[in-house]
Amino acid sequence: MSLKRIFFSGLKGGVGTSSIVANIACALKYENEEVFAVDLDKKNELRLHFGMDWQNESGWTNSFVDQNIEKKWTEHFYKDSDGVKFLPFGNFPKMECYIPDIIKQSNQLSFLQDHAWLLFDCPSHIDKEELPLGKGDVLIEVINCNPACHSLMNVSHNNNQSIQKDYEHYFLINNFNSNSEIEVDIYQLWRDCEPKLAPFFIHSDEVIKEALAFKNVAFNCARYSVVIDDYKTLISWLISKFND
Amino acid sequence: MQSNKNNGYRTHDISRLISSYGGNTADYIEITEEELIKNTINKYPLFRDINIAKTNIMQNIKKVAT
Repeated sequence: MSLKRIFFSGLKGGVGTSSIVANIACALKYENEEVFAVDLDKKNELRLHFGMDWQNESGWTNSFVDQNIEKKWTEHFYKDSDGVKFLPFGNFPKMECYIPDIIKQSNQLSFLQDHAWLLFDCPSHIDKEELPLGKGDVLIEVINCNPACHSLMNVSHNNNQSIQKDYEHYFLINNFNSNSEIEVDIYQLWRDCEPKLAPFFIHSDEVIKEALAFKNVAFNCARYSVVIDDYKTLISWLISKFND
Repeated sequence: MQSNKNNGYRTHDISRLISSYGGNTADYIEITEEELIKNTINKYPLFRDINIAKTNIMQNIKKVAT
């Protein structure tokens, strides 16, 4: 089995993609897996979940500003207290044009072990069809159970119907509130009509917001919360996908 | 007590809100809005970071201005 690359991307902004990437990275690390999390989003938020100082905005984009002076982009990895290695975006938003290069080069990094997990936090605004994903890659589009995402999913369907994909593509519901009538209705609709829907969802949980305020992941703040069970289900599902 | 022109809340209203959480009049806390904000910022490491960074920026602006 080669490198396991998973691309998380919000169908739209603010659906909670970065928190999923950070928590899944941590959950995999607890399973003794080698994990690398890469922030491809110019909001540069992933680093905050791993305890990085708010003022420290360095990341992989810094190496593309002046390639003669700066370190190589692969030298911008940090390691958090759980052992997760993460690569912040940096503070040069215009350098997001290099995202396809980072994805292409990530397959040949010498320091990555064969069985390592490479999790990408992709921005919601870029066209996923433009990303150089290949066979064995998994794209997970994060959605919320609301009418805006329902509308966008149907637009996405209409645009991509004829495109053959080498990679696996799923939709994952985040922040699900089972007390909301509209969310339950939309979930039932998707469950019946959307074949790419992951067979579970991530519940809405206060610990996600609290964990970020403490510059940490939910795994280290409330290990027995509902959302942690959801994350464990997600990683079991991912592990089973790569073992198939 | 001074009213807060920024968000429309009055200090008195906020202190009453805090006391209501205690459920006991003996726990009534009089707190200024400034203290309340300071406590909230200090409670969360991320907010502390942001506040320190903003303070540093303001100090640098003042230095340049003088």
